[in-house]
Amino acid sequence: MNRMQLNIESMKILKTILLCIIALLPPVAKGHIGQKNIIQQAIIGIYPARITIKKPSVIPGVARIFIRFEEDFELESVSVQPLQWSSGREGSPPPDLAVPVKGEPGLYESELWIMTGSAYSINISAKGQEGEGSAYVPYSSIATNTPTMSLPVQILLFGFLIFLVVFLLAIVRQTVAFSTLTKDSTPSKGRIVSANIVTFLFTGIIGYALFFGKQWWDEEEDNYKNNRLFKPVQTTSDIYLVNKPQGRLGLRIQAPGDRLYRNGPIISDHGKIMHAFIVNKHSDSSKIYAAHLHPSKFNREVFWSFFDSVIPQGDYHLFADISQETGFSQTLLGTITIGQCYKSLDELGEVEEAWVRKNFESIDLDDSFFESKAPETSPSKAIWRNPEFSLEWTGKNTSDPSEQLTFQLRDSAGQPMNPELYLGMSAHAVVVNKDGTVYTHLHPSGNISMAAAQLAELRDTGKAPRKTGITEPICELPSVDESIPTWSKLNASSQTGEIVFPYLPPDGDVYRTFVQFKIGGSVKTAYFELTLRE
Amino acid sequence: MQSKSDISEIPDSPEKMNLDDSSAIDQNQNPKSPWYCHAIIIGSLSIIIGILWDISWHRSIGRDTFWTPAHIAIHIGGIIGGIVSGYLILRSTFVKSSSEHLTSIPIGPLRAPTGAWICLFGNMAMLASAPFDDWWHNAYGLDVKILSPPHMVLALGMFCVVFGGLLLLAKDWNNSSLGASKQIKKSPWLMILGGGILLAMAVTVLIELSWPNQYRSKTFFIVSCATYPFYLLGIARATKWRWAGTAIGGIYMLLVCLSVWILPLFKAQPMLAPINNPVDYFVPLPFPLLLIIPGFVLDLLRFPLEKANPILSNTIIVLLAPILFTLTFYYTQYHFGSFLLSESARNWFFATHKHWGYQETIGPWSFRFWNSSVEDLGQHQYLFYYAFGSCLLAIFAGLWMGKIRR
Repeated sequence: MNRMQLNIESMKILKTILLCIIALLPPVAKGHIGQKNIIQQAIIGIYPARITIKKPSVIPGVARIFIRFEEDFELESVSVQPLQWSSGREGSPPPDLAVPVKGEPGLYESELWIMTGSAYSINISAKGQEGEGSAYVPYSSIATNTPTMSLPVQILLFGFLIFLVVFLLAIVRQTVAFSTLTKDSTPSKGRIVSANIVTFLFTGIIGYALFFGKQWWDEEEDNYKNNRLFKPVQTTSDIYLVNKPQGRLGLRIQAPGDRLYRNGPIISDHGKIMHAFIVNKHSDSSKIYAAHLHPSKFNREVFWSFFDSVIPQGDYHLFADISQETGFSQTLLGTITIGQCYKSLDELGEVEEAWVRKNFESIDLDDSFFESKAPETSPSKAIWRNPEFSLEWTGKNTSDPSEQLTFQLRDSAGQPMNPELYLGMSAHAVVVNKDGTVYTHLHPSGNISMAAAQLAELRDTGKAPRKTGITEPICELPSVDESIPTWSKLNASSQTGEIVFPYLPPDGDVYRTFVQFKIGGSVKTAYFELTLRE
Repeated sequence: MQSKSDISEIPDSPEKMNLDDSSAIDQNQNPKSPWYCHAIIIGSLSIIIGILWDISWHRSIGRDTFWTPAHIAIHIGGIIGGIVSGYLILRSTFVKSSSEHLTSIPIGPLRAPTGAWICLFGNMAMLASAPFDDWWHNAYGLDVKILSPPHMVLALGMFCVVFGGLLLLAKDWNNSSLGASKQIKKSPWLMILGGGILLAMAVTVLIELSWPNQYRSKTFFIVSCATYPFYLLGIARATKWRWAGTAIGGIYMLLVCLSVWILPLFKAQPMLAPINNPVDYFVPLPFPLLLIIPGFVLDLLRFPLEKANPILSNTIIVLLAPILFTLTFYYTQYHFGSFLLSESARNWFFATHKHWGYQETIGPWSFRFWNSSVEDLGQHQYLFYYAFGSCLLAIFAGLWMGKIRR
């Protein structure tokens, strides 16, 4: 009799608990934004190599680094060592040996344990019969993961939770009923009532513990989302009419200073403190508009770029790449809506208006603009034709283990031709997916900040301090002209007119790809819509 | 119904314990506890060694895998608990002539002693914490602190494994004492060792709130008053030995002291950047809390009440113990904190210069109080209420453990 009653009442209690537990389970979050990988063309001593780092989406986390040497060198050892920008080599563990990947000659891999959200550089050393040397890969450590729980994990953890709660209550109940009885006794009616009461009280205690645990979990998640999850800096950006008779326009970018300078003052990366890219939001319209601008600093929060190109009405994405003195690099985001009229300088403060009126004449000749209809492309082959040149995507998508985008540049007669240097690089590419959630600025050297790589080497060799200024940098970097001999070695091209961008897309998607280079002293842009696999 | 209180049976040494009782039921007169009680306490010891080692590993080396020696030590403890509980469930369920069958409680079709069920629950919780912790790492990053929800599930599991072992010991004791017509000298040391291990686990879980620099903070005193009397009074009472509180506090201190003295003897190399403190040894936890002192005072309180009426003695204990614990704990730690932060404590014995991990930049902040919100105990009388809650729970737990037969 007792056991039957016990079971019925137990079931009632369990049903109540199950309902409480279901209410306490965390909701499933969705979504992921962010660049996952670093890819860099490097020369490690005398050994050319391509370095790929698959970043963890959380901090602390473990990244995987792959070093692919371009030839099958006889190497004795390849090692990697993450250097946090302020603690340097003294604050780093000994280098880890990278191990050869079986079946992939010339490919080495290792783990990188990244503990803090800050700027690191990965020092890669190679030692072989032909000598030894090292290279630096700048690494901006950020957490990008939006916590989600897959259905199997939810089922597993929920199952455990149900089991543990039910099991614990069963133990409590039976313990109160039986635990102090001698071996020949059975629980009295009063004892069973007591067992039920205690179980009921324990249900409340467990419920409170679960409620407290859920609150704690929520607090941890809030802390992660508010303090550790990287959120791109959102700018307030607009186009102003700065000189009516001339029709000159100005792009004004304003970023919150507290967030902008968290990783140190902005430093110049291949000659510019900011590389801004404006592209119209994707729509069914086949019109493409893009501008590659290099704003100057008005004050610590506001940046201006002046130009004469007319920007059509519409909605635009703004992406602005900056490098900072810690070695951190990031992309600022913004949106611009252009209606029938541009904004007027009257809307600015007096000081800023005066500064604009004084400086609007200075146009950056490295700025470029692009307007066209979208081309008809096939996923495997695309050619951008122009009276002066043609650029052909030779179909190297990410199914190719070399992980690169390769283009062939030809002149109007169809002969391969080499581009001139544009900001110290043989070419630039911008890759944007259609909804603007993926953006990458590429060079033949990869997707890293060249300035951050230089800074890492200077710091590691004691030529730059492990400190930063507050709003202005204190470290001195080589000029573009001084850097060109080094950078030009990093062009992965092996034949005339070939432009190679190492690239690993974060997801399989259609990417709007702008390739820019210089011919005859002017910047040319070719546009492709490429279907790439992850 | 019991005619004597547990307090009235308190002997002043383990050897003089007379566990005779006229209401004999069990004829178990074996002076040794069953093998599985020893096994589970050995497993518990493995768990606490593993915990202290693992924390040191994280603060000295940083990188870890599932297969570090510290993790293995913890899991060996869990596996021993699992084997013992599995054995007892099988034996109690299917060997109907066994004493385990007769002294077990049913859950569904299976039977086992209470301690075995709790031990099994602990194992299941430890198991459940693994995928939870793994998900946590993937969602929010690798561990940099002890206090996290999945770690609390693991801690609950480890606590239950050890506590289950104590209940098995208590059951063995209580059944033996009932059946003996002569003195049975069952040593309380296994239970005291288990109690010391449990206390060490509790202090370790709270270590992030109990650094010597926090010995004057409100949070430190709240969590301490709410937690430690349970072990020093409740489990001590369950052992029925007069100096058990002192011994449990002493065992805890000995375990942590051994880790403070032994771990730095071994070389370690930090393997994660940034290394702000280039240690070359295994970093220990700070010197333990002086819990032997409140343990001793609580033992002194219990002693004069041994002849008293159980209701009266329990009432007096539950009223006086919180006051005595809070006063002794507060004044001991308040002044001991000053000593530990002074240069006099920077030696091999107290090792306050050695308990800083590779991530912590040592500076003036390392040797001063971080928060001195509790300077005058008179302004923080609520601490007595926390201690009262813990003592009340301890009285009930002690009484129950003194009566558990299954």
